[in-house]
Amino acid sequence: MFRYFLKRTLAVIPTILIVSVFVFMFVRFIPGDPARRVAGPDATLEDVENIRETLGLNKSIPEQYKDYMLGLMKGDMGTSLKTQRPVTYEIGQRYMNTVRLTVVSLLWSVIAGVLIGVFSGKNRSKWQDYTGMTLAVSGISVPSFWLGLMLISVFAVNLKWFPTVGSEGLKSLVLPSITLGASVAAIIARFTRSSIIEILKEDYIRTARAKGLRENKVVWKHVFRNSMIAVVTVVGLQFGFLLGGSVVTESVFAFPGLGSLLIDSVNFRDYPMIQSLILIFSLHFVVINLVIDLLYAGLNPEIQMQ
Amino acid sequence: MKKVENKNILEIKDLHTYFYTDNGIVKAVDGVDINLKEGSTLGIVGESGSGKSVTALSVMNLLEGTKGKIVKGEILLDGKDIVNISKEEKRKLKGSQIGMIFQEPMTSLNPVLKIGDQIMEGLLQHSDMSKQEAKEKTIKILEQISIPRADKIINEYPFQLSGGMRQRIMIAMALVCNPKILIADEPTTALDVTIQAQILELILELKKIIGMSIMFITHDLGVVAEVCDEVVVMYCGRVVESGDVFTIFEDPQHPYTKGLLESIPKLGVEVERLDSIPGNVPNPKFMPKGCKFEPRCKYSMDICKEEEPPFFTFDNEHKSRCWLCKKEYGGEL
Ligand SMILES: Nc1ncnc2c1ncn2[C@@H]1O[C@H](COP(=O)(O)OP(=O)(O)OP(=O)(O)O)[C@@H](O)[C@H]1O
Ligand SMILES: [Mg+2]
Repeated sequence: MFRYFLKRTLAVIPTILIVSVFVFMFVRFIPGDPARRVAGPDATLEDVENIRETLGLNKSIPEQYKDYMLGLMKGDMGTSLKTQRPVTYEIGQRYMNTVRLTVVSLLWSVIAGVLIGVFSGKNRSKWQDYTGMTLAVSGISVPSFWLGLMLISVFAVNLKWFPTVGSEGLKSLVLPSITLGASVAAIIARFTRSSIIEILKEDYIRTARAKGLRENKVVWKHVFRNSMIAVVTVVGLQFGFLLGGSVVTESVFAFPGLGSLLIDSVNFRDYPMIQSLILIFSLHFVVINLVIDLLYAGLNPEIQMQ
Repeated sequence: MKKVENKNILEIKDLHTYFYTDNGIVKAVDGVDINLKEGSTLGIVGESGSGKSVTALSVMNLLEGTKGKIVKGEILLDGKDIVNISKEEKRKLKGSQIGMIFQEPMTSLNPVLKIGDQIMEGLLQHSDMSKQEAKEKTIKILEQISIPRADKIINEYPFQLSGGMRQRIMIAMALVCNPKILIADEPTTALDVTIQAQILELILELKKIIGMSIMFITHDLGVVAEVCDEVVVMYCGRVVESGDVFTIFEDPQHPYTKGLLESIPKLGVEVERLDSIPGNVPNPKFMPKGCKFEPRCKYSMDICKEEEPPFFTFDNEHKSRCWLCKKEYGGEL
């Protein structure tokens, strides 16, 4: 188990390297010239060239990549073109906000999704199922920016229960995390439901019933654990979706997190900021999937033993 | 062989179990009567699809989750009806009064739970034993069925065991609460021959120790001859012949039973494939009007096409559902 863990952890490094190369290249393919943005609209061509040189943007892409990676090893992600402050500082300011938002969203959506899925699945074609799946279909079909705006207009503007924007206190997390988690909860609910329905057909469930166990025991001990093996993998994939979704949600709520920072940076062609942010997103995704894999192994004795 | 008139521990009376599928009604069990005498072993034989498993599932109340329903008939356990009782009462009978083992040992154990846990949970459900006591009882029953390293096995998972071992675990699981009845649905079909013999031996041995009555479902008449006291032959959801094992083997009355007996491979004799019964089981949608076996029967008469035969009773509670019995043997209606 430990060796498996070590192997999987080491496998993160090449993944991140490959991602960094692609991100680095693609960022530079975005049309638009950051040197001009920094210099301002009135700058002369010469000014722009000077700035390009100080920013190191006149070097070839491989060279720039080398510089960036060398800096990265020392914990230096470069300087933001927009604010002229270190990228690590800018990210540090907002990092915990996004982590909080993502974790809260993931937590509620996994718990709600799994519960709805289990109750729908074990009560297939009954009212619990219809209610649960109606909720799930709505969760998937409603676009998150629209959901966000609706929540703001009802609960923030009209009822004034929650703040419209910002990241002050727990209250400010409620509406954004509902917006962010809704579709994830819905997808997890649907997946859990179909997995529960499949497992209920297994021979070993008939065996459990033949023992005269209470129905709750059959569902939560025998069915649930087996269906979770399939569900955890989906949770891992959904996490990537959450990271992407946070960009939209943070913009709608003017939430000072990494997602809204990414949008600002793309608008400004802030190369060091964009590439660092995407690298951080990828790292999160890879680490979460590592955790999911371990969870999967933990749930599955056959893998655990190998 | 001792011939004691024992009471019936299980009586199935005129059982009808139908499946309401999207393609129509499947009359899987259509008027079955079976009596299981206390302390005896009853074999249920018949071709695939004759309703053996559905009969067992009806007794075990395991039709939940399928489209099947008991539409008519009674099932009496120790004289008390178990069809029209509450769900909760039915649940309490399962495992504690009637245990069941299934055909597929490979898929019948939960892959993510430890063996010990899976055996113990029945005990914990039906008695007020502590976990420790239940664990001791579990180890004891595993030792009883001569499973080596019982104290280690309880902490292992099903995938670590062979098919034969798993079937032993299933047996331990079904018997751990000392049920009055064991229903074994083709418990050896999925195993290879040497293991089959061991499992049969084990069941018989446990029967001596625990003293339960057994309903043994199989399509292997060789196995019936070895382990059963009585035999019920099923065809198309009906019992076509029943009686004690000697009578059925020595003096079968129904052409279907005769065909089955002829199809047993005899040692040293080349078997020409199941040509003893030509044709196939009829499609449930086009059931013959009269005797369900008539289209495949070489003794077919006019009356067989028109009217389903009733049971004709001979001595020793030997019954056969065939018009020939009336004609040739003078059985009584
Ligand atoms: N869940 C189900 N849904 C619909 N029809 C079913 C179901 N289970 C069994 N049947 C039908 O009931 C009939 C009897 O099936 P059963 O399983 O009792 O046969 P069997 O005698 O046990 O055969 P085998 O020797 O193959 O186990 C078959 O025609 C089968 O198609
Ligand atoms: Mg069967």
